[in-house]
Amino acid sequence: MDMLERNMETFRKNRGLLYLQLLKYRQELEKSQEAGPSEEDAAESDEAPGGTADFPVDGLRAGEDGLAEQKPVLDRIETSIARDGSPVLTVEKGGTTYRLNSMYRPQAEAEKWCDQYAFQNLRMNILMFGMGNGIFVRSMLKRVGTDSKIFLYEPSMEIFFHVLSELDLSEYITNPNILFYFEGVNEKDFYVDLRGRTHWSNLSTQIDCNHPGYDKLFPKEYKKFRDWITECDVTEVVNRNTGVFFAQSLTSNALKNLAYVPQARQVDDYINAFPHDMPAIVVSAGPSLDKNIEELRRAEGKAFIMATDTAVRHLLEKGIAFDCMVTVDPKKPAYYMNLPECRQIPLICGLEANNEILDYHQGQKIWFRDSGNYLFNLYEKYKKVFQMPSTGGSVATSALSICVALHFHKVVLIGQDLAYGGEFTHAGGKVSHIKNEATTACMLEGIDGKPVKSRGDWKMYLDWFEKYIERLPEGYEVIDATEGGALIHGSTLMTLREVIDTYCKESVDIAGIFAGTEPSFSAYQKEIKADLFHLEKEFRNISYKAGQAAETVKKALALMDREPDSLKLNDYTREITKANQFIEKQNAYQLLDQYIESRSIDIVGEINVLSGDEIQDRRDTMDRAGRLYQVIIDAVEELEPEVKKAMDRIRQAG
Amino acid sequence: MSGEKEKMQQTIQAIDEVVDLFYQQRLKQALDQLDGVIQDIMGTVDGLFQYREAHQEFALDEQRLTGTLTEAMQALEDQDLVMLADVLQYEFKEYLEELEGQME
Repeated sequence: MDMLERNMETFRKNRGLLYLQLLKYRQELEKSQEAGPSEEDAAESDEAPGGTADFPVDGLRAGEDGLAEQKPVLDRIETSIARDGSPVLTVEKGGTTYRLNSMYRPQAEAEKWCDQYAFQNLRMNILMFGMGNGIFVRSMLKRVGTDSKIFLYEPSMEIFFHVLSELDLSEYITNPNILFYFEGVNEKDFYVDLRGRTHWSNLSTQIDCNHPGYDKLFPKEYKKFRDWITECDVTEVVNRNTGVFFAQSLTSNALKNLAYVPQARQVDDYINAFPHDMPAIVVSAGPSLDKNIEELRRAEGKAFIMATDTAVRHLLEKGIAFDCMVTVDPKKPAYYMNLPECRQIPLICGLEANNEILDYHQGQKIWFRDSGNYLFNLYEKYKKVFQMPSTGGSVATSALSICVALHFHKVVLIGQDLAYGGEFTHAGGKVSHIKNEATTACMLEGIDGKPVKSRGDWKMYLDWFEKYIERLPEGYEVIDATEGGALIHGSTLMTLREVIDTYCKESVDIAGIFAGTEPSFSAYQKEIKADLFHLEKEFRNISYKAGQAAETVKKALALMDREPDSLKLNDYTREITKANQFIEKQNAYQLLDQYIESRSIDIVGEINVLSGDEIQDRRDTMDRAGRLYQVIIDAVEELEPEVKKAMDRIRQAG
Repeated sequence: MSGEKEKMQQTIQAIDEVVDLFYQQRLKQALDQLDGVIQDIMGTVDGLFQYREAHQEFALDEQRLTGTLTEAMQALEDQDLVMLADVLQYEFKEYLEELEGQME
């Protein structure tokens, strides 16, 4: 077995899915080599001759995702030996030689390179562009904790397969701290996984870096890598700020809306209920909605029409029927949805949606998101899946996500301008400004290729749409039938008339499908109500335990000052750990968490930061814990009246 | 300690700092400092020749010294900054340390 096969076998044993992806990549590459260069490749190779015997000019993905023009051409890849016996990777591109390691002592070079970064913190995300031959990664691995992750993004499969053929990479392949991403194989997972691992509290300790030389070798890929990171970081900060802004409303709404849990459904209850080939039309209230809103009449009964909260009034005023509506914003003015005509239309919302809207509404309530993991845990208790489609930050992005979760293979967007229509922001000649709007003004590419005026929040949603579309499974399509506004790359442009003529063929009794679906907990009404009433006790338990833990912290801090090495401190740490475990086990904590987070931003922001001085770090951790417990105690006290009201509402709901 | 030895130690320190910056890819800072380091190196080399004049037993391999500097400048011209750092660190600086060991 040669080195390449040995390394692939290690992949197979340790990273099964990635192994299959790499295998598929190699097989497709071999097929394209047997087929010879296409006309496109021939044209490319006329312009940029080069490539190795095993990896010709990389036209494998010519035309796909626009990646072809970004593929580098490497003239030579070589591994030689440095003076200290370590391997040295050298790459030649366009006549320039890039030495990716020191010719003298690569290990020492890597150590020096690592010295500039602080690896001692907790739960770090280390984002590295370029793996090279692994020497820099090895140096990092010696310094990071087991709770940290190295996201290793290799932009060149040519380099990777060369290294795989030359060196034993098992120390990296078997290391669970390393996550591998390869351009052309699984690069789309990078952003998704990064979003999953990023919390604003670990942003300050995040390290983004590149293997020396890779930024010059692969500038376009490097820019893409950096853009993803920036987007992820910005999204996390926005989420934190949104959470802080909405914290009180979120928790207050969630508590009040608990009364609806016994009779509500959730998105998962409708999976496979609707025909997959029926188009879903998401109606947003951008200025272009005025152009084609009338066309929607022809789609009634033949498409699943989902109205965003802002579009509800427009549709009702025009007498256009829709099948369901969706609301996300905990502070959305009830005005948008307080018309009698929409009281019975199914409402898809989060537990923390504006309670006024839910109270006015009398039809089916369908959860699509949670407050923390409260509903998730409740559903799990009864062995039910609680799917949480991603929200993307707006009601329209949420709506798209919900439609895909419901397995509609074609999702059509209308009124999704993401740009001004002249001076207007919304349909019906309406204008709705946001804070600091002028400072976020920007120009985007319009659907006709001409620039359109937009603003920061719309740009953010546009980026979300594009990334989301990129990651859609095969067979799914997003059609932009807005007929105006910004271009959503990856979407198919059609007019609404064309969409309806082409795809709206069969009539479906959508109202009947909704009516025929039972509440999620129809078989567990007594048990669910007991769980809800139990919340009051859970809040009291949390406060009690936090109080006990706060006392333990005081004792621990006093002891640390007198005897920093006392073994009794371990007992105190154990007590605090047990208290934390108890608190986190209370499902009520999920409702409390967001409320607390807004009051503890400074404390939580420091939580992963270590100074390197063990005694000081221990003291700081204890001190932070003490402050957090006090925040918990205060929060429970503040929320007590709301919790009592929530219990009364549950009783009244019957 | 002789003046030349003190000057050499300062140059060694300056080389250490700039080499670290190159290895850490902090190129703007490194290149900004490099001018000063080159000045220090030139001053040190002059000092070494003067020291040899005053101390006949002082073994100074001129070819090794100038050859190393030429290699460093070539690496700079080729924009092979890791090679530049390598040469400064493992050729020039290590030779300076050898010479420093011989000095009073």
